[in-house]
Amino acid sequence: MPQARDVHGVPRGLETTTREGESAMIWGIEDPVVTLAYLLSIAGMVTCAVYGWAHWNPDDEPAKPEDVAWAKEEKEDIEKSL
Amino acid sequence: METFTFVVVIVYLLAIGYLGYLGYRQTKTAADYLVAGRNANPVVMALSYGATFISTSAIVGFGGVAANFGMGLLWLTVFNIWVGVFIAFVVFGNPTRRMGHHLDAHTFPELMGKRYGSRAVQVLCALIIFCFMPLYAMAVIIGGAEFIGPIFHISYDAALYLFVAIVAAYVIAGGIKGVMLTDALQGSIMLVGMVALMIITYVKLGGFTAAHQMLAGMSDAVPAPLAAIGHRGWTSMPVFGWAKPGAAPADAARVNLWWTLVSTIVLGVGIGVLAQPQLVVRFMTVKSRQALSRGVAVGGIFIFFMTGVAFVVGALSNAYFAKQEAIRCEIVEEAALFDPGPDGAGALSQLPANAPPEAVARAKKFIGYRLPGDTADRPLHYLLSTPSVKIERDVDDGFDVIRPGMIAIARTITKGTTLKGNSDTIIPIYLNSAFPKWFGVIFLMTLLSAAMSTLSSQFHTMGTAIGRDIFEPMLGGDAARSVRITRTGIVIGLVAALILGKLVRGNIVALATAIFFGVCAASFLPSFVGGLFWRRMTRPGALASIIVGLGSSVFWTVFVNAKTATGLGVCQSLFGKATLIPSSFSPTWAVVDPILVALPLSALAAVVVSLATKPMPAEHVAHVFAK
Repeated sequence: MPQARDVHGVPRGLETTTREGESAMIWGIEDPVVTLAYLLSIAGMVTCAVYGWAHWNPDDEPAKPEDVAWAKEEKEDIEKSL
Repeated sequence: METFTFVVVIVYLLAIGYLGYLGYRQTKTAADYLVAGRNANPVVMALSYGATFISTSAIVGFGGVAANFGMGLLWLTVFNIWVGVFIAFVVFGNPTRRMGHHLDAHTFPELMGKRYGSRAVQVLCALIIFCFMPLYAMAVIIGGAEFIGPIFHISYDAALYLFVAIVAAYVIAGGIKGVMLTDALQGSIMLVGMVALMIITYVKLGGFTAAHQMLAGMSDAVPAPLAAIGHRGWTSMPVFGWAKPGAAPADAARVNLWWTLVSTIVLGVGIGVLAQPQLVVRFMTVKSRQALSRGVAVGGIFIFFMTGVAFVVGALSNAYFAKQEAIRCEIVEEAALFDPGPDGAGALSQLPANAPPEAVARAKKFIGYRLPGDTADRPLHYLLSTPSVKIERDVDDGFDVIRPGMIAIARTITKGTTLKGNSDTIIPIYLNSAFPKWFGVIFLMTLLSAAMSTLSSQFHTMGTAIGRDIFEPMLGGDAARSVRITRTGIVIGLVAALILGKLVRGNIVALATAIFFGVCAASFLPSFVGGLFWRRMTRPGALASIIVGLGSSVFWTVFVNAKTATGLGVCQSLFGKATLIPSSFSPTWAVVDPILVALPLSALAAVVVSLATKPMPAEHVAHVFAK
């Protein structure tokens, strides 16, 4: 049985953490919960891409006077402070 | 090589400066500012989002944490994408933008202050930002300095000063004007750098599945200190559970890693991102609802390739270091002795020839070597000498070859670190060891891009917090004085981050980021969400939520969470014990992150106090929520 090692790679005699044959690995990853995280990350990326694509050219609301006023003040603030 | 590196850095900085100037010239008026946003190339626009979100902290700090804790860190990527991008943009984005524009709010504290009609709310939010944001800025700066040092062969301190000087020049020269072209160039470089990092790593380790299998097969190499807290291998989640009150320390500790990984790293950072002041402001600066939707598309892809790649590569670096690394070098000394101090936990320092016998007895042996191209006046590189290290003399064109055969964190143990190593240096060491020098220089651009885009918005947020949000409402200052104070605030923030970066080093980047994100979530999230979506939320409710969230978060950090309480030492000096957890409570409470306690308490305070107090005047609510 393999042994846990200290930080220098020296065996410490602790019980092994290897669980050979315990479950089939997906993509070479031991724990299905980690595989799920990998899958959900990819799924999240795909969902965001599809959502963005579907809303790429929606009818956009026209700029309101308050939007223009806000942008004017923001630009002036940044120019003054830097 | 250094000349090449300097030339690349200078060309990069000139390109950033030129694009900033170009973009600035194209947006002369406020109308241009809006129109440019509406007509810009969607890819250019979307890439600029990601550059602001991701910093060196995510790549270097959390990549190093993944090298320690394993691929379970991918749950943070899940939260980053689903919460930090999808929910943030789709649910919070447009309401924040509309309310910000309608109330003419330009900072997060100003938005909160105007929503609740309260200067106290505005000042309190600004004070929290000004006090805690240097912690996050420090994390970003350390992440950059740890990488720059080895690239330029300079000390950590010199790298810290150099990095801060570059960032300060960028910020002072107007980096925050960083209109989309600048941000987009930075985002593009980051994307290319991280995609290349992922592909090369997988190819090096034999392919997608083979690389994971190699890592999975190393679970017997988990260091004893990590196995003792529940580490089961780098492709597995740690042991889950909740220790019973009075459990033996060894049994109780078996679940610690799970709670650290999930509560501090995944939830602390994953949820905390929703209440980041600089992110909220970003929604207000988005020019249209259409831009927000487009941002979701590229934002999701961008975050996957930033954090997902950093975490996967971080974990896989163990397989590279243990199975493949071969250092081509000239070995200068095979048995240099480094002393970790009497308690074995101090910074390793080289023993002189006349060292006392007790120091020699506890000292560790290191191998000192020079890399090809290193001159004799440069300090040697040191590698811990262990039974796994194999040395081949004079085998490669006159050079020696060292095969360390050790995992990532052990590879970081060197002169100046403790025997625990420094996870913040794992990614830099991996890049320097596994990739050609030119890739290191390209990756330096990636990190500079990540840091500059994030830091410029951080320092601007700190400056406006003290100038616009504290000085103006409290003292009624005039605009000119407010600007001077804003600039002073930026300088104070820079200096504070620099001092913190000098004082604190080693395994700190991810922790500091998590603390800041946690404080933001507990203090701001309930009042921010309530402010956007709940008309019945009142001013006392918001104040109570912020105070309870901040108070409970700080209390838990200083007196309950074992890692932070021990590090700060306040609990020990006041009460004579490491944490205030009573013995009748589960010892697992000591590893639960503050966010799991402080955020629910803050939300409860918001709801209870709002319902218990008089609703805000109908005309104020109508004005705030006007379409």
